[in-house]
Amino acid sequence: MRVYKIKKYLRLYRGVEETKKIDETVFECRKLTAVGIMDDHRRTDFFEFLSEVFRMNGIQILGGQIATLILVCLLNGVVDDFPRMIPVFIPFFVMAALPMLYRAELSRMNEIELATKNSYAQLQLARLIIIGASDIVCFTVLLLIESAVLKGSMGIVNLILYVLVPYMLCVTIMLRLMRSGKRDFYASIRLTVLVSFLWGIIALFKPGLYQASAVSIWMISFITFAIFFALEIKHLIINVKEGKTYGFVS
Amino acid sequence: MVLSLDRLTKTYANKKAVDNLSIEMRPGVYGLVGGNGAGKTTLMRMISAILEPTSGEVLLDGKNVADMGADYRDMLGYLPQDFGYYPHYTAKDYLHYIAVLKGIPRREAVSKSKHLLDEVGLSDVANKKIRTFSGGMKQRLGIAQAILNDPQILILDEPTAGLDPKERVRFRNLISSFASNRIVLLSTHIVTDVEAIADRVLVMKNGRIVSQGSIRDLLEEVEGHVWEIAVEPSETDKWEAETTVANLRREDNRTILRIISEDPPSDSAVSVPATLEDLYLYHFPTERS
Repeated sequence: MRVYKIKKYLRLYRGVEETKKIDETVFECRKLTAVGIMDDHRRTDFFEFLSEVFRMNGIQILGGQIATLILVCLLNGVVDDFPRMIPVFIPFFVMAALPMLYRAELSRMNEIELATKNSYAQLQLARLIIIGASDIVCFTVLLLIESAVLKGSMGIVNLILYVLVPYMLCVTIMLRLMRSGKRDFYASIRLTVLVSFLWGIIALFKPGLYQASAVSIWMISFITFAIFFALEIKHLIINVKEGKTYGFVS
Repeated sequence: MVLSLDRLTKTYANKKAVDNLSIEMRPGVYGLVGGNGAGKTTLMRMISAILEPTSGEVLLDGKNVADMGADYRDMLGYLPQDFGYYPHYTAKDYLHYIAVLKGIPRREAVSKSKHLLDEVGLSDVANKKIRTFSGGMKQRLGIAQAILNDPQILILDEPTAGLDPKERVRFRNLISSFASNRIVLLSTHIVTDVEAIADRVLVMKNGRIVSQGSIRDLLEEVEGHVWEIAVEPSETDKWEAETTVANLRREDNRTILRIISEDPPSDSAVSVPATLEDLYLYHFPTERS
Protein backbone atom coordinates (compact mmCIF):
# COMPACT_ATOMS: atom_id res chain seq x y z
CA MET A 1 0.00 0.00 0.00
CA ARG A 2 1.29 3.44 -0.86
CA VAL A 3 2.11 5.92 1.88
CA TYR A 4 -0.44 8.50 0.71
CA LYS A 5 -3.18 5.85 0.87
CA ILE A 6 -2.15 4.86 4.40
CA LYS A 7 -2.20 8.53 5.36
CA LYS A 8 -5.65 8.98 3.80
CA TYR A 9 -7.07 6.02 5.74
CA LEU A 10 -5.44 7.25 8.93
CA ARG A 11 -7.05 10.65 8.44
CA LEU A 12 -10.43 9.06 7.83
CA TYR A 13 -10.17 6.88 10.95
CA ARG A 14 -12.26 8.36 13.73
CA GLY A 15 -11.81 5.65 16.38
CA VAL A 16 -15.42 4.46 16.13
CA GLU A 17 -14.61 0.93 17.27
CA GLU A 18 -12.68 2.25 20.26
CA THR A 19 -10.76 -0.91 20.78
CA LYS A 20 -7.38 -0.50 22.36
CA LYS A 21 -5.68 -2.77 19.84
CA ILE A 22 -6.84 -0.74 16.83
CA ASP A 23 -5.70 2.47 18.50
CA GLU A 24 -2.30 0.92 19.11
CA THR A 25 -2.09 -0.19 15.47
CA VAL A 26 -3.08 3.26 14.25
CA PHE A 27 -0.50 4.82 16.56
CA GLU A 28 2.20 2.51 15.26
CA CYS A 29 1.20 3.20 11.64
CA ARG A 30 1.32 6.93 12.25
CA LYS A 31 4.79 6.52 13.69
CA LEU A 32 5.84 4.39 10.73
CA THR A 33 4.58 6.83 8.14
CA ALA A 34 6.33 9.62 9.98
CA VAL A 35 9.53 7.56 10.02
CA GLY A 36 9.05 6.91 6.30
CA ILE A 37 9.03 10.64 5.70
CA MET A 38 12.06 11.11 7.92
CA ASP A 39 14.05 8.45 6.08
CA ASP A 40 14.08 10.43 2.85
CA HIS A 41 17.48 12.03 2.83
CA ARG A 42 17.53 14.08 -0.34
CA ARG A 43 18.98 17.55 0.11
CA THR A 44 18.53 20.62 -2.04
CA ASP A 45 21.25 21.76 -4.43
CA PHE A 46 22.45 25.37 -4.57
CA PHE A 47 19.92 26.52 -7.18
CA GLU A 48 16.99 25.04 -5.25
CA PHE A 49 18.42 26.69 -2.17
CA LEU A 50 18.77 30.01 -4.00
CA SER A 51 15.15 29.89 -5.16
CA GLU A 52 14.01 29.09 -1.60
CA VAL A 53 16.06 31.98 -0.20
CA PHE A 54 14.52 34.22 -2.86
CA ARG A 55 11.05 33.00 -1.90
CA MET A 56 11.68 33.71 1.79
CA ASN A 57 13.85 36.84 1.66
CA GLY A 58 13.32 38.17 -1.86
CA ILE A 59 10.52 40.65 -1.14
CA GLN A 60 12.41 42.30 1.71
CA ILE A 61 15.60 42.54 -0.36
CA LEU A 62 13.89 43.92 -3.46
CA GLY A 63 11.73 46.23 -1.35
CA GLY A 64 14.79 47.74 0.33
CA GLN A 65 16.64 48.26 -2.93
CA ILE A 66 13.64 49.74 -4.78
CA ALA A 67 12.90 52.08 -1.86
CA THR A 68 16.53 53.26 -2.00
CA LEU A 69 16.30 53.73 -5.77
CA ILE A 70 13.19 55.88 -5.38
CA LEU A 71 14.91 57.94 -2.66
CA VAL A 72 18.01 58.45 -4.82
CA CYS A 73 15.89 59.35 -7.86
CA LEU A 74 14.01 61.92 -5.78
CA LEU A 75 17.31 63.38 -4.62
CA ASN A 76 18.33 63.53 -8.26
CA GLY A 77 15.61 66.12 -8.75
CA VAL A 78 16.74 68.35 -5.90
CA VAL A 79 20.54 68.03 -5.89
CA ASP A 80 22.46 70.24 -8.30
CA ASP A 81 25.15 68.58 -10.37
CA PHE A 82 23.84 65.13 -9.46
CA PRO A 83 26.52 63.01 -11.23
CA ARG A 84 29.08 64.23 -8.68
CA MET A 85 26.77 63.05 -5.91
CA ILE A 86 26.11 59.55 -7.32
CA PRO A 87 29.02 57.96 -5.35
CA VAL A 88 27.68 59.61 -2.19
CA PHE A 89 24.32 57.88 -2.57
CA ILE A 90 25.51 54.47 -3.79
CA PRO A 91 26.46 53.23 -0.27
CA PHE A 92 22.77 53.66 0.62
CA PHE A 93 22.01 50.62 -1.53
CA VAL A 94 24.47 48.57 0.52
CA MET A 95 23.02 50.01 3.73
CA ALA A 96 19.52 48.95 2.65
CA ALA A 97 20.74 45.35 2.27
CA LEU A 98 22.43 45.17 5.68
CA PRO A 99 19.36 44.28 7.79
CA MET A 100 18.88 41.20 5.61
CA LEU A 101 22.55 40.21 5.64
CA TYR A 102 22.73 40.60 9.42
CA ARG A 103 19.23 39.46 10.31
CA ALA A 104 20.45 36.31 12.12
CA GLU A 105 22.69 38.37 14.41
CA LEU A 106 20.01 40.97 14.98
CA SER A 107 17.45 38.31 15.93
CA ARG A 108 19.92 36.08 17.83
CA MET A 109 19.32 33.28 15.34
CA ASN A 110 22.98 33.00 14.34
CA GLU A 111 23.85 29.96 16.46
CA ILE A 112 20.96 27.99 15.01
CA GLU A 113 21.71 29.11 11.45
CA LEU A 114 25.43 28.40 11.75
CA ALA A 115 24.74 24.81 12.78
CA THR A 116 22.65 23.96 9.72
CA LYS A 117 23.81 22.03 6.65
CA ASN A 118 23.69 24.93 4.21
CA SER A 119 26.54 26.93 5.56
CA TYR A 120 26.26 30.56 6.51
CA ALA A 121 28.55 31.26 3.57
CA GLN A 122 26.03 29.66 1.23
CA LEU A 123 23.19 31.65 2.74
CA GLN A 124 25.10 34.91 2.40
CA LEU A 125 26.16 34.06 -1.15
CA ALA A 126 22.53 33.39 -2.09
CA ARG A 127 21.45 36.70 -0.54
CA LEU A 128 24.31 38.57 -2.24
CA ILE A 129 23.27 37.12 -5.60
CA ILE A 130 19.71 38.38 -5.06
CA ILE A 131 20.96 41.77 -3.82
CA GLY A 132 23.44 42.02 -6.72
CA ALA A 133 20.77 41.14 -9.29
CA SER A 134 18.34 43.71 -7.90
CA ASP A 135 21.12 46.32 -7.77
CA ILE A 136 21.96 45.72 -11.45
CA VAL A 137 18.35 46.56 -12.25
CA CYS A 138 18.30 49.55 -9.86
CA PHE A 139 21.59 50.97 -11.16
CA THR A 140 20.46 50.52 -14.77
CA VAL A 141 17.29 52.49 -14.01
CA LEU A 142 19.30 55.15 -12.19
CA LEU A 143 21.77 55.49 -15.05
CA LEU A 144 19.01 55.61 -17.66
CA ILE A 145 17.28 58.40 -15.74
CA GLU A 146 20.53 60.26 -15.28
CA SER A 147 21.49 59.86 -18.96
CA ALA A 148 18.08 61.17 -19.98
CA VAL A 149 18.45 64.18 -17.67
CA LEU A 150 22.01 64.95 -18.76
CA LYS A 151 21.24 64.33 -22.43
CA GLY A 152 24.73 63.09 -23.22
CA SER A 153 26.79 65.82 -21.52
CA MET A 154 28.47 63.15 -19.36
CA GLY A 155 29.81 59.89 -20.79
CA ILE A 156 27.97 56.73 -19.75
CA VAL A 157 31.32 55.11 -18.84
CA ASN A 158 31.91 57.84 -16.26
CA LEU A 159 28.45 57.34 -14.80
CA ILE A 160 28.91 53.57 -14.59
CA LEU A 161 32.23 54.06 -12.79
CA TYR A 162 30.64 56.54 -10.32
CA VAL A 163 28.24 53.75 -9.42
CA LEU A 164 30.52 50.72 -9.39
CA VAL A 165 33.61 52.08 -7.65
CA PRO A 166 31.95 53.05 -4.33
CA TYR A 167 29.67 50.03 -4.53
CA MET A 168 32.53 47.56 -4.81
CA LEU A 169 34.51 49.35 -2.10
CA CYS A 170 31.57 49.09 0.31
CA VAL A 171 30.75 45.46 -0.45
CA THR A 172 34.41 44.39 -0.29
CA ILE A 173 34.97 45.88 3.16
CA MET A 174 31.65 44.53 4.40
CA LEU A 175 32.50 41.00 3.22
CA ARG A 176 35.90 41.32 4.85
CA LEU A 177 34.21 42.24 8.12
CA MET A 178 31.91 39.22 7.85
CA ARG A 179 34.72 36.84 6.99
CA SER A 180 36.82 38.02 9.92
CA GLY A 181 34.16 36.62 12.25
CA LYS A 182 33.66 40.08 13.76
CA ARG A 183 30.40 40.40 11.93
CA ASP A 184 28.70 43.42 13.28
CA PHE A 185 25.68 45.16 11.83
CA TYR A 186 26.55 48.51 13.34
CA ALA A 187 30.18 48.35 12.13
CA SER A 188 28.86 47.81 8.61
CA ILE A 189 26.43 50.73 8.96
CA ARG A 190 29.32 52.94 10.10
CA LEU A 191 31.34 51.71 7.14
CA THR A 192 28.70 52.65 4.57
CA VAL A 193 28.21 56.07 6.16
CA LEU A 194 31.97 56.59 6.12
CA VAL A 195 32.27 55.63 2.44
CA SER A 196 29.36 57.95 1.60
CA PHE A 197 31.00 60.76 3.60
CA LEU A 198 34.36 60.14 1.91
CA TRP A 199 32.81 60.56 -1.52
CA GLY A 200 31.00 63.65 -0.32
CA ILE A 201 34.37 65.18 0.62
CA ILE A 202 35.84 64.20 -2.75
CA ALA A 203 32.84 65.68 -4.59
CA LEU A 204 33.17 68.95 -2.68
CA PHE A 205 36.93 69.42 -2.64
CA LYS A 206 38.09 67.55 -5.74
CA PRO A 207 35.56 68.52 -8.42
CA GLY A 208 38.22 67.89 -11.03
CA LEU A 209 37.80 64.17 -10.42
CA TYR A 210 34.35 64.45 -11.97
CA GLN A 211 35.54 65.87 -15.27
CA ALA A 212 35.18 63.53 -18.21
CA SER A 213 38.98 63.59 -18.57
CA ALA A 214 39.44 62.03 -15.11
CA VAL A 215 37.98 58.74 -16.32
CA SER A 216 41.40 57.05 -16.12
CA ILE A 217 41.59 57.65 -12.34
CA TRP A 218 38.16 56.10 -11.92
CA MET A 219 39.17 53.23 -14.18
CA ILE A 220 42.26 52.51 -12.06
CA SER A 221 40.13 52.64 -8.90
CA PHE A 222 37.60 50.36 -10.54
CA ILE A 223 40.25 47.77 -11.47
CA THR A 224 41.81 47.93 -7.98
CA PHE A 225 38.49 47.51 -6.14
CA ALA A 226 37.34 44.88 -8.64
CA ILE A 227 40.39 42.77 -7.77
CA PHE A 228 39.69 42.98 -4.02
CA PHE A 229 35.99 42.42 -4.63
CA ALA A 230 36.75 39.32 -6.73
CA LEU A 231 39.08 38.02 -4.01
CA GLU A 232 36.37 38.40 -1.36
CA ILE A 233 33.83 36.64 -3.57
CA LYS A 234 36.42 33.90 -4.19
CA HIS A 235 36.83 33.44 -0.42
CA LEU A 236 33.07 33.23 -0.07
CA ILE A 237 32.75 30.65 -2.85
CA ILE A 238 35.61 28.57 -1.38
CA ASN A 239 33.79 28.65 1.97
CA VAL A 240 30.61 27.49 0.24
CA LYS A 241 32.43 24.67 -1.55
CA GLU A 242 34.16 23.51 1.62
CA GLY A 243 30.92 23.78 3.56
CA LYS A 244 32.44 26.14 6.09
CA THR A 245 30.34 28.23 8.40
CA TYR A 246 31.89 31.61 7.43
CA GLY A 247 32.93 32.70 10.87
CA PHE A 248 32.47 31.12 14.28
CA VAL A 249 30.62 32.29 17.33
CA SER A 250 33.32 33.43 19.71
CA MET B 1 28.98 5.88 15.22
CA VAL B 2 31.49 7.30 17.69
CA LEU B 3 31.77 10.97 18.55
CA SER B 4 35.11 11.59 20.22
CA LEU B 5 36.40 14.68 21.88
CA ASP B 6 40.16 14.58 21.81
CA ARG B 7 41.96 16.85 24.28
CA LEU B 8 39.48 19.61 23.53
CA THR B 9 40.42 22.99 24.96
CA LYS B 10 38.89 26.42 24.66
CA THR B 11 40.56 29.39 26.23
CA TYR B 12 39.06 32.86 26.59
CA ALA B 13 41.67 35.45 27.60
CA ASN B 14 43.22 33.75 30.63
CA LYS B 15 40.32 31.45 31.46
CA LYS B 16 40.07 27.87 30.23
CA ALA B 17 36.37 27.34 29.60
CA VAL B 18 37.03 23.77 28.47
CA ASP B 19 40.23 22.19 29.65
CA ASN B 20 41.84 19.29 27.78
CA LEU B 21 38.63 17.31 27.71
CA SER B 22 38.55 13.84 26.17
CA ILE B 23 35.49 11.60 26.00
CA GLU B 24 33.89 9.15 23.60
CA MET B 25 30.18 9.10 22.94
CA ARG B 26 28.28 6.29 21.25
CA PRO B 27 24.55 6.20 20.50
CA GLY B 28 22.55 6.93 23.62
CA VAL B 29 21.34 9.84 25.70
CA TYR B 30 24.03 11.73 27.59
CA GLY B 31 23.12 14.15 30.33
CA LEU B 32 25.63 16.93 30.90
CA VAL B 33 25.32 18.47 34.33
CA GLY B 34 27.39 21.18 35.87
CA GLY B 35 27.16 24.49 37.63
CA ASN B 36 27.10 27.90 36.03
CA GLY B 37 30.37 28.60 34.22
CA ALA B 38 31.37 24.93 34.18
CA GLY B 39 31.93 25.11 30.41
CA LYS B 40 28.86 23.21 29.22
CA THR B 41 27.74 25.73 26.62
CA THR B 42 31.26 26.21 25.26
CA LEU B 43 31.62 22.44 24.96
CA MET B 44 28.30 22.12 23.15
CA ARG B 45 29.17 24.92 20.74
CA MET B 46 32.44 23.20 19.87
CA ILE B 47 30.66 19.87 19.32
CA SER B 48 28.19 21.74 17.10
CA ALA B 49 31.14 23.04 15.04
CA ILE B 50 30.19 26.69 15.46
CA LEU B 51 33.00 27.46 17.86
CA GLU B 52 36.59 26.75 16.98
CA PRO B 53 38.55 24.95 19.71
CA THR B 54 41.78 26.57 20.89
CA SER B 55 43.29 23.08 20.66
CA GLY B 56 42.11 19.51 20.32
CA GLU B 57 39.56 18.01 17.96
CA VAL B 58 36.00 16.80 17.71
CA LEU B 59 36.02 13.56 15.70
CA LEU B 60 33.16 11.63 14.22
CA ASP B 61 34.23 8.07 13.43
CA GLY B 62 37.81 9.32 13.35
CA LYS B 63 37.14 12.28 11.02
CA ASN B 64 37.59 15.83 12.21
CA VAL B 65 34.15 17.45 12.11
CA ALA B 66 35.67 20.78 11.00
CA ASP B 67 36.86 19.01 7.85
CA MET B 68 33.52 17.26 7.36
CA GLY B 69 31.79 20.65 7.11
CA ALA B 70 28.30 20.42 5.65
CA ASP B 71 28.25 16.61 5.86
CA TYR B 72 28.65 16.86 9.62
CA ARG B 73 26.10 19.64 10.02
CA ASP B 74 23.64 17.58 7.98
CA MET B 75 23.82 14.98 10.75
CA LEU B 76 23.51 17.55 13.48
CA GLY B 77 20.59 19.04 15.37
CA TYR B 78 21.37 21.88 17.74
CA LEU B 79 19.32 23.84 20.21
CA PRO B 80 21.32 26.67 21.78
CA GLN B 81 20.69 27.81 25.32
CA ASP B 82 19.86 31.37 24.39
CA PHE B 83 18.31 31.71 20.99
CA GLY B 84 16.13 34.22 19.22
CA TYR B 85 13.54 33.94 16.50
CA TYR B 86 12.06 36.05 13.75
CA PRO B 87 9.03 37.51 15.51
CA HIS B 88 6.98 38.12 12.37
CA TYR B 89 7.28 34.47 11.33
CA THR B 90 4.58 31.97 12.20
CA ALA B 91 5.66 28.66 13.74
CA LYS B 92 5.12 27.01 10.35
CA ASP B 93 7.11 29.69 8.48
CA TYR B 94 9.89 29.35 11.01
CA LEU B 95 10.23 25.60 10.52
CA HIS B 96 10.05 26.03 6.73
CA TYR B 97 12.85 28.59 6.94
CA ILE B 98 15.02 26.28 9.04
CA ALA B 99 14.22 23.46 6.58
CA VAL B 100 15.61 25.65 3.77
CA LEU B 101 18.82 26.14 5.74
CA LYS B 102 19.01 22.41 6.43
CA GLY B 103 18.61 21.68 2.73
CA ILE B 104 15.33 19.81 3.11
CA PRO B 105 13.26 19.91 -0.09
CA ARG B 106 10.08 21.99 0.14
CA ARG B 107 7.49 19.22 -0.05
CA GLU B 108 9.27 17.18 2.55
CA ALA B 109 9.73 20.25 4.74
CA VAL B 110 6.00 20.90 4.73
CA SER B 111 5.13 17.39 5.90
CA LYS B 112 7.96 17.22 8.42
CA SER B 113 7.06 20.60 9.90
CA LYS B 114 3.45 19.53 10.28
CA HIS B 115 4.46 16.29 11.93
CA LEU B 116 6.88 17.97 14.33
CA LEU B 117 4.50 20.77 15.29
CA ASP B 118 2.09 18.02 16.23
CA GLU B 119 4.80 16.18 18.20
CA VAL B 120 5.68 19.25 20.25
CA GLY B 121 2.06 20.23 20.74
CA LEU B 122 2.08 23.38 18.61
CA SER B 123 -0.15 22.28 15.72
CA ASP B 124 -3.01 24.45 17.00
CA VAL B 125 -0.84 27.57 16.82
CA ALA B 126 1.08 26.68 13.66
CA ASN B 127 -0.18 29.80 11.88
CA LYS B 128 0.30 32.20 14.78
CA LYS B 129 3.19 34.65 14.94
CA ILE B 130 6.03 33.55 17.20
CA ARG B 131 5.96 36.89 19.01
CA THR B 132 2.65 35.83 20.57
CA PHE B 133 4.17 32.63 21.99
CA SER B 134 5.00 31.99 25.64
CA GLY B 135 8.56 31.05 26.64
CA GLY B 136 7.64 27.37 26.81
CA MET B 137 6.09 27.43 23.34
CA LYS B 138 9.20 29.07 21.88
CA GLN B 139 11.33 26.44 23.58
CA ARG B 140 9.21 23.66 22.08
CA LEU B 141 9.54 25.28 18.66
CA GLY B 142 13.31 25.35 19.23
CA ILE B 143 13.26 21.63 19.98
CA ALA B 144 11.25 21.00 16.80
CA GLN B 145 13.76 22.88 14.64
CA ALA B 146 16.62 20.88 16.17
CA ILE B 147 15.11 17.54 15.10
CA LEU B 148 13.72 18.75 11.77
CA ASN B 149 16.52 17.12 9.75
CA ASP B 150 16.26 13.84 11.65
CA PRO B 151 19.78 14.31 13.07
CA GLN B 152 22.10 11.51 14.10
CA ILE B 153 23.68 13.81 16.67
CA LEU B 154 21.41 15.99 18.74
CA ILE B 155 22.87 18.69 20.98
CA LEU B 156 20.41 20.36 23.34
CA ASP B 157 21.59 23.11 25.63
CA GLU B 158 19.14 23.53 28.52
CA PRO B 159 16.21 22.21 26.48
CA THR B 160 13.79 22.06 29.40
CA ALA B 161 14.36 25.64 30.57
CA GLY B 162 11.01 27.41 30.58
CA LEU B 163 8.96 24.24 30.17
CA ASP B 164 6.23 23.45 32.68
CA PRO B 165 6.13 19.94 34.23
CA LYS B 166 3.69 18.62 31.64
CA GLU B 167 5.77 19.97 28.77
CA ARG B 168 8.89 18.47 30.34
CA VAL B 169 7.26 15.04 30.40
CA ARG B 170 6.29 15.47 26.74
CA PHE B 171 9.87 16.50 25.94
CA ARG B 172 11.32 13.48 27.75
CA ASN B 173 9.01 11.13 25.86
CA LEU B 174 9.89 12.79 22.56
CA ILE B 175 13.62 12.47 23.19
CA SER B 176 13.32 8.90 24.46
CA SER B 177 11.47 7.81 21.31
CA PHE B 178 13.86 9.80 19.12
CA ALA B 179 17.11 8.65 20.69
CA SER B 180 17.51 5.11 19.38
CA ASN B 181 20.76 4.73 17.42
CA ARG B 182 21.53 8.41 17.84
CA ILE B 183 23.78 10.42 20.08
CA VAL B 184 21.81 12.87 22.18
CA LEU B 185 23.70 15.23 24.46
CA LEU B 186 21.63 17.45 26.68
CA SER B 187 22.70 19.83 29.36
CA THR B 188 20.37 20.82 32.11
CA HIS B 189 20.20 22.10 35.62
CA ILE B 190 17.10 20.01 36.21
CA VAL B 191 18.58 16.79 37.50
CA THR B 192 15.28 14.92 37.39
CA ASP B 193 15.23 15.30 33.58
CA VAL B 194 18.64 13.67 33.34
CA GLU B 195 17.54 10.97 35.76
CA ALA B 196 14.50 10.23 33.61
CA ILE B 197 16.08 9.95 30.15
CA ALA B 198 19.88 9.87 30.23
CA ASP B 199 21.73 6.60 29.77
CA ARG B 200 24.95 8.18 30.91
CA VAL B 201 25.73 11.28 32.88
CA LEU B 202 28.72 13.58 32.46
CA VAL B 203 29.46 15.85 35.39
CA MET B 204 31.38 18.93 34.33
CA LYS B 205 33.28 21.29 36.58
CA ASN B 206 35.80 23.99 35.71
CA GLY B 207 35.98 22.86 32.10
CA ARG B 208 36.65 19.23 32.90
CA ILE B 209 34.54 16.09 33.20
CA VAL B 210 34.96 15.22 36.86
CA SER B 211 32.72 12.20 36.81
CA GLN B 212 30.94 10.12 34.21
CA GLY B 213 29.05 6.88 33.96
CA SER B 214 25.59 5.40 34.18
CA ILE B 215 23.31 6.84 36.82
CA ARG B 216 23.83 3.72 38.92
CA ASP B 217 27.63 4.05 38.69
CA LEU B 218 27.49 7.66 39.70
CA LEU B 219 25.15 7.05 42.57
CA GLU B 220 27.60 4.48 43.92
CA GLU B 221 30.16 7.26 43.95
CA VAL B 222 28.09 9.31 46.37
CA GLU B 223 26.68 6.36 48.33
CA GLY B 224 27.61 6.63 52.00
CA HIS B 225 27.89 10.41 51.79
CA VAL B 226 24.19 11.22 52.17
CA TRP B 227 22.81 11.51 55.67
CA GLU B 228 19.62 12.40 57.44
CA ILE B 229 19.46 13.93 60.85
CA ALA B 230 16.60 15.20 62.95
CA VAL B 231 17.24 18.63 64.51
CA GLU B 232 15.29 21.28 66.35
CA PRO B 233 13.74 23.82 63.90
CA SER B 234 15.78 26.57 65.51
CA GLU B 235 19.03 24.78 64.59
CA THR B 236 18.26 24.59 60.87
CA ASP B 237 20.05 27.80 59.91
CA LYS B 238 23.20 26.71 61.69
CA TRP B 239 23.27 23.37 59.84
CA GLU B 240 22.59 25.05 56.51
CA ALA B 241 25.50 27.43 57.08
CA GLU B 242 27.92 24.70 58.09
CA THR B 243 26.99 21.81 55.79
CA THR B 244 25.50 21.10 52.36
CA VAL B 245 21.81 20.59 53.04
CA ALA B 246 20.08 18.91 50.08
CA ASN B 247 16.63 19.01 51.55
CA LEU B 248 14.69 19.65 54.71
CA ARG B 249 11.25 18.56 55.78
CA ARG B 250 9.16 18.82 58.94
CA GLU B 251 8.24 15.68 60.82
CA ASP B 252 6.30 16.10 64.04
CA ASN B 253 8.04 18.96 65.77
CA ARG B 254 11.47 18.19 64.36
CA THR B 255 13.19 19.13 61.11
CA ILE B 256 14.73 16.33 59.08
CA LEU B 257 17.80 17.54 57.20
CA ARG B 258 19.29 15.69 54.26
CA ILE B 259 22.99 16.44 54.34
CA ILE B 260 25.76 15.69 51.83
CA SER B 261 28.95 15.03 53.71
CA GLU B 262 31.98 12.74 53.53
CA ASP B 263 31.63 11.93 57.22
CA PRO B 264 28.54 11.57 59.40
CA PRO B 265 27.57 15.13 60.40
CA SER B 266 26.56 13.94 63.86
CA ASP B 267 26.37 10.77 65.93
CA SER B 268 22.66 10.51 65.26
CA ALA B 269 23.01 10.82 61.47
CA VAL B 270 21.57 7.95 59.45
CA SER B 271 23.00 7.03 56.03
CA VAL B 272 20.31 7.09 53.29
CA PRO B 273 20.24 6.06 49.60
CA ALA B 274 21.60 8.75 47.27
CA THR B 275 19.82 10.38 44.37
CA LEU B 276 21.26 12.18 41.33
CA GLU B 277 20.39 15.47 42.98
CA ASP B 278 22.63 14.48 45.89
CA LEU B 279 25.39 13.71 43.40
CA TYR B 280 24.99 17.16 41.89
CA LEU B 281 25.26 18.80 45.27
CA TYR B 282 28.19 16.56 46.14
CA HIS B 283 30.10 18.03 43.19
CA PHE B 284 28.60 21.52 43.37
CA PRO B 285 28.00 22.12 47.07
CA THR B 286 27.36 25.84 46.64
CA GLU B 287 24.47 25.31 44.19
CA ARG B 288 21.05 23.90 44.77
CA SER B 289 19.51 22.11 41.82
